[in-house]
Amino acid sequence: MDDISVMLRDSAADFLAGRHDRSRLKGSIGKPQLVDRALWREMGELGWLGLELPESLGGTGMGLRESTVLAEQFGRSAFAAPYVASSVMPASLLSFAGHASAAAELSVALQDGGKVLTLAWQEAVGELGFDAPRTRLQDGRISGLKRFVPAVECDGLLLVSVRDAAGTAVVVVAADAKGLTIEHQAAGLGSIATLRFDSTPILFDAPLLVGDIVSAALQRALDAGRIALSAQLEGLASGMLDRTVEYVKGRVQFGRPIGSFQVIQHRCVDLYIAAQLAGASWRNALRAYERGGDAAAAISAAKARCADTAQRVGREAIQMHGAMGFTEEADIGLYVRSGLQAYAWLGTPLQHRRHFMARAPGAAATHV
Amino acid sequence: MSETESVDLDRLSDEEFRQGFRSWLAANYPRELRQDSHRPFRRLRGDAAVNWLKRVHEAGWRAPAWPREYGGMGLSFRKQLIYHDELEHAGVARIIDLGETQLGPTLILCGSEAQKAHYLPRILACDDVWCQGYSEPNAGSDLASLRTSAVREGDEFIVNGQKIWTTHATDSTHIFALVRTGKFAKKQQGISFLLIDLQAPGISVRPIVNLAGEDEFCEVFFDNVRVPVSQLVGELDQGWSVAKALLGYERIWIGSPALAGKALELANTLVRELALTADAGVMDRLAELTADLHDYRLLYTEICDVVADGDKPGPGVSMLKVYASELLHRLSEFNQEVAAEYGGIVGDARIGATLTDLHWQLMMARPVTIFAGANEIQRDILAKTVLGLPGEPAKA
Amino acid sequence: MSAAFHYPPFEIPPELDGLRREVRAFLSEASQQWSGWDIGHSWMGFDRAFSRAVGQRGWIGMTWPRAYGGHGRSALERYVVVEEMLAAGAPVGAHWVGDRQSGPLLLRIGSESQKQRFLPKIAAGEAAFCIGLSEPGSGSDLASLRSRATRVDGGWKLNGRKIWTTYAEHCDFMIGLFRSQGTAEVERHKGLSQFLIDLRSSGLEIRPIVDLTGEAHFNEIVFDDVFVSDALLVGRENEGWAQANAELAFERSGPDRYMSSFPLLPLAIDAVCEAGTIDRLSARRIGEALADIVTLREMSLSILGQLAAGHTPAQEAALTKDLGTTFEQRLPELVREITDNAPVISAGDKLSEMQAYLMQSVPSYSLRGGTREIMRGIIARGLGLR
Repeated sequence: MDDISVMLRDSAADFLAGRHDRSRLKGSIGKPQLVDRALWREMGELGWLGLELPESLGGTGMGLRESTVLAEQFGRSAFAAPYVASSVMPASLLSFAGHASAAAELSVALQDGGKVLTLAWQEAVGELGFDAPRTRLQDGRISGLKRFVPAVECDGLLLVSVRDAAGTAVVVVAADAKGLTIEHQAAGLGSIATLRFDSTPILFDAPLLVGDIVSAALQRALDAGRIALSAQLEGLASGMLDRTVEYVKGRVQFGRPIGSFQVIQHRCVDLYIAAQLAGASWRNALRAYERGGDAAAAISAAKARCADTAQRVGREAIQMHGAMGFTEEADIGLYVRSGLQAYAWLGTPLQHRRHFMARAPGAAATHV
Repeated sequence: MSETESVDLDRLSDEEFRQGFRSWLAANYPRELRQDSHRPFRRLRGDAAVNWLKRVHEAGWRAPAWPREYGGMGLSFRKQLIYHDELEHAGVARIIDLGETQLGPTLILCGSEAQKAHYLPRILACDDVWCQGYSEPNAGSDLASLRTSAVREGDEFIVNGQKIWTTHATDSTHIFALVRTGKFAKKQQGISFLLIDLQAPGISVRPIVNLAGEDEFCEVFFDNVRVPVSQLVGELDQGWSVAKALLGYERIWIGSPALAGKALELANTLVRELALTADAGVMDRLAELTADLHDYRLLYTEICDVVADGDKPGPGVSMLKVYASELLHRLSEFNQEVAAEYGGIVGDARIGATLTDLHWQLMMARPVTIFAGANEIQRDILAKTVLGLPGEPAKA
Repeated sequence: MSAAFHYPPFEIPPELDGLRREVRAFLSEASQQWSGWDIGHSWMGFDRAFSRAVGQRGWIGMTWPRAYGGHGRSALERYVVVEEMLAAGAPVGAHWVGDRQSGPLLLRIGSESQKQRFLPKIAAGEAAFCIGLSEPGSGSDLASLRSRATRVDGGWKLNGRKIWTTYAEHCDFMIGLFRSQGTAEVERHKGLSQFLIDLRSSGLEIRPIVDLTGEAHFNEIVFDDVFVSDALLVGRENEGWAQANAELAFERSGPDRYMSSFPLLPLAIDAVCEAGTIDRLSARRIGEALADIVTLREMSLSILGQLAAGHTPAQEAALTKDLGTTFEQRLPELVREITDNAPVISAGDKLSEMQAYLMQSVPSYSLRGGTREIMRGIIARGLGLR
């Protein structure tokens, strides 16, 4: 880990220790949670938002590598902010934007945390890619349906993939625009929304991205999102494991700490190994992404691995915490809930493993 | 003069080194001895092994990890990784050469000048072939409770007892053994490290046939065997630390994903030959195994890189052996299962264009989770050292 | 090893088909108004009106003598009713504990006045019971209980805390285990007694515990000088451990230990058939699930037969519970894979509603009624390993 990463990691850990009160997240199961805007602005002040933006849009020369450091820390603390959805993915997309004034304005809103941006690309369950959106753009208005969109705030800004006569494009829509119905559902520690556009006007008079670049830009944003989400999932797994190890060291039954039973020890060890594999997997995906070539197989392998690992560690962590683990009083539930959302969003492990197999028959890895 | 002595290996780039070794192997390794789908984990032993190692030695490619002053190649850890990678790539059969991988490095660390001068060249030239005598019938995973005794009498030790699971003792000329020389409160103390000639009077060797049908293991019996005191390595009663000095490195090499890679190749061959590629259930499982190996290689490489950068292997390397060996189990079981009726054949089966011995590959994968510290022991180590979990309270 | 576990085959005679049809007809009517979320609760669903209706049909306390409000029917007939209730995901929670545990306990060792006072109410679906065993410091290690019963004039005073009691705030009575003699460190299993406690007694406070489903199925109960009269001691003083243990053995092998998520399966089969997305892989998965259910049912029935013959198949029950809860836990994941359901609830769609509830509730299956680790300890003992 380089110096900047270490610094970021430490400052994130400090921030979370001081400002992240997990108890506030409790008791809200089944109710869609909106973004904590005060915290989001603080993250902006700390310079954590929009790390993927190029210097021409006010970026600081950092990028996805630094974002994954933060995402992993956020996972470790079960932090609810929609960092991947509203910082990593929009920033990645904006860096390709052709509409310069729009991009500049959006970058400022993203970086200072004044607005919450989110990508609306998916239209049906199980979609991994974004080919041929059915949402239509005509005369500056869009109509169609987008699903599973995280972090839609009532004053939020939506980056929507659409189709017009010329091909695909990305437009910007205000969440409070006329002709847009938003249906929120609880998901993880936040929400996902179904968006119904009915002749909804777009902002900035013209699309943010048009032409051949759209497909590459969306792909890159999804790639970045999946990698950061993988880091967050591995962080969730490692955070749960840390808590579980602490718990079994202290919980005494039958006259001894349950952590001294071999059956508990070996299970903890297996979870530890799983978390190590998950870390190696997303770091490899990050390197593949940075090299710029075809990173599809590495990214799918990472998303599948990290999601499965978070799910598995969560299941075992509840069991090892005993009945207390099944309650909202232990923090494990927050981790599990956060993991359930991240598990499915941007593709399930099953989908990603199949995708990985199709891309990497024999799956020869880069060894040494 | 060997081929490699004319070049300074350290000055070669990693890639030049890789190419050099690769082309030498291509030109010299006998095609008929390669690992293939028939024998994915093929091993060489006896004369075949000695002949090949002599050739390796003559060409200057022997003992990559030994310092040059002792006749080794003195490679950096990173070049050692490349060396092993190329062996795997060329399908070179594995050889259990404990003289090179264990005793040599141990003598270099802890042996006397006389021991080094006498034994090291003989190991390189295959004049002596070594086996390891650690386990006993009642000291398997718990080596500290071993009982084979060595009692000093003048300039000699008198050794009595029994060793078991001694790999390839029938192919060996010598054994390095842990023996009990004293009793202390801590069981690990009072153990000494001895070098013993298998021709000495009072030694008998009995082979044990394994589940793959090979007489791979042996029992070695000691009945008043006289061993000169000069054959003691390190200090008296301190043999445990002598034996442990190399454990970290050993666990890295045992954790190599190479065998699992061979098993996965076979899996792909089987799925193709048996026309199972349209079966989503089979393919999902294959995808899982493929992803497991893919990610494991990444983790293995990360940890090797840390060691290559100069860190000593920490206790965390135990996880490599655990994961790699269990992945090998899962792969060999997958192969057995998808082969359906072929999986029941003990011996060669022709499946489409492929000749393979599934029973052999299944059985040869079995002991990997047991030897060199059973996986249960590795997990105990990880639980205590890496996770800091408490030990079992003493029985009241 | 072969001697440790016995599963002699046992079959439900065809004469009971009539009863089965009767229960099914009743349930198909009643289930019209249940959402998938409700069905997912299975025997954790609490509905007093439903329990009264079941009581009116004579399906609670079926095997008890008529003199106590029972119906003098066989254990087999009761099994058929329970099986059908669980298959439909009926909300049996209000009479579940009374019918399965507390009633049989009172029948076995309760005083005559206790039997007359409580059993008819349970059988009518009027009295809901819960069990007070676990304490904050005693989860799996029940012998370390610390809540105390102290003798006072005419009865006992109870002090301490109980935790993980199911639906205490909706229930009327608890049968609780308290230390009446000695200390947890020395006496361990000895010196524990069982009491019948009216949950409206003064000095008793019930605090709900919100769990991962967002609901409060469990409670913590604080006892501050709660008085119970001598007449409410169950069985014998200081013999509570053996009494409670016998009770636990019944708890372990019933269909509720493998059918909690069962109603999901027919819903999923309907969904994939309707969508026409059934491929070889899905078909195989469904087949595997079915094979598991059939086997678990055979095992559960076999234990029923052994109990009916007067044996106490504790090892077999533990083994069946371990396998059964593993199956119950796995089913929602399997169904998610074959139906490709998004992890969101679509209102009105029973499958997705039930799926959403179960994804959150299944972790508790291997914790309740004795954890998986405890079950495996019992199995290991059966093998002579401890």
